[in-house]
Amino acid sequence: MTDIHQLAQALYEAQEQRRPIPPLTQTHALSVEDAYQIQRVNIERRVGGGDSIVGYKVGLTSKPMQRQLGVGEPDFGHLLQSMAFRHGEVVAYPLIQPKVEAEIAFVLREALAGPGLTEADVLRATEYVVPAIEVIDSRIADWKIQLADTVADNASSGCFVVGDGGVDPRTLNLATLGGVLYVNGEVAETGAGAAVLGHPARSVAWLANKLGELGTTLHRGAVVLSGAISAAVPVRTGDRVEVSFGRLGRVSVRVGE
Amino acid sequence: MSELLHTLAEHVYTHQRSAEEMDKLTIEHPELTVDDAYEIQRLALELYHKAGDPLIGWKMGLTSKAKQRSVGVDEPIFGRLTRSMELHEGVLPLAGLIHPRVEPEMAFVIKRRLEGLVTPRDVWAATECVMPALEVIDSRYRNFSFTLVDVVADNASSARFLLADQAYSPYHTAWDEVGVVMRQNGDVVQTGAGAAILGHPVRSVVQLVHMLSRHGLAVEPGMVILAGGITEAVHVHPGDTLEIDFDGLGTLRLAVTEA
Repeated sequence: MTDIHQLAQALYEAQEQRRPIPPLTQTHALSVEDAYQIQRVNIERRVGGGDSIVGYKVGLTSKPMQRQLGVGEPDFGHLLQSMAFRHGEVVAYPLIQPKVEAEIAFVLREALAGPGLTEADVLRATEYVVPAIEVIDSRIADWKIQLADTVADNASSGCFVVGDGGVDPRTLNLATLGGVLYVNGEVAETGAGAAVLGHPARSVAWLANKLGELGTTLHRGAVVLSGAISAAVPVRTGDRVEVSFGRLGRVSVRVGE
Repeated sequence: MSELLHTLAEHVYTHQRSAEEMDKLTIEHPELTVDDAYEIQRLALELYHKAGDPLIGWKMGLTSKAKQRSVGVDEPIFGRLTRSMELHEGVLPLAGLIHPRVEPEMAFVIKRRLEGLVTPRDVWAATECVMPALEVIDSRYRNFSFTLVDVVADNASSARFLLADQAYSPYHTAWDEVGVVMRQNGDVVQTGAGAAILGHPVRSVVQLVHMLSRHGLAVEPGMVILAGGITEAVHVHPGDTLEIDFDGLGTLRLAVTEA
């Protein structure tokens, strides 16, 4: 299993040097478990370097994305403090081939220890929901990813921005809540919460249950990016990105160097 | 030219009525312009009118930047809605259709004449109500494949439409923020929000009135306007059930039947 550390190192360097690498799956027969181990190695390395885990992102939450990668369930990645940017800021993060997504973020009031959790448990444990922009990125050249590639690469996370404010999730219907993704003032994508596994809280429940299987508790105060409500949109340096979720509010960011 | 346009209008009308596929008009007549295509559309409508099927409104197409780019244009297109196209219950018989697709829409019902260089406030002042809606589009061209000229001549692929029972004041909500979820046989197949229509559906009505003015036309009181698709259109098959939820505004249901 020396491969795990070697592949983790390759991904780590790819990000630091902003130089993408060929798909890991091109040369290695990786299981999904191997891939999560690679992800874990790099997260622990960053935490060892002074970073901290602030939450998680859930990926592959739409049927089209699952079909594209030939999988039947989502995947997850870790959100680190160094990946978090503030509403209105310029994102200065080592990105390679970024795309942006509109998401509903959950901030937890109580820890969630799976398995066996439902949407209702998630809604009860949520302090508030808030609009978020996820900047996804891939350390794999040209996004030519298989499931194991993206899982190893922290579920293709880049960085993220959560809006100000926040709303009790029980005061609105998150399934029909509409979201609009604007790039440089033009509507790029629209969607609604149901694009995320039928209901975004289902995505958070899946995550808590998955983490439970792996012996981890979704901690109190965690931020969870529940999944994209539309297709991801490629962005370039200087682009202004804004996400509006009606009564939930707005969040905006500019893509930096 | 005028004789050719009449002939083509009859050709298009016949295929719309018989639900038989046809070749693109531009294969045999590459010289046709967009203005010619709108004239074909108008002449075909006269045939509907003669057959006792009057104009009751308008539809807008290519109302998203993505669709405009895919056809290589920078403005939407319009089509004509006749009385026979309106469904009165949530059942869609496939008889009379070729390869139909369904998309969620927002409909404006107009109470005062709209013409000329109107603004959004003119449109609001002239709007009786806004209603959740769905449109069934169906190109008469083989493989749903066409150029801009072809699709305009084919009445912007208009086929059927259904309006919700409940109507809303134009000031009821922010229409660009209304989320829409379309389920097909229980599975979420499309989601979107009103902003998918030119940033805000009212802009589509403004644009329609501007375009009609160039043709010397106006939106008359009582007419319905389908402002544009909120998501991609989905293919439907006999036995399908579609459910379209409009955030806080209700659900439209459509059962697809053979005949």
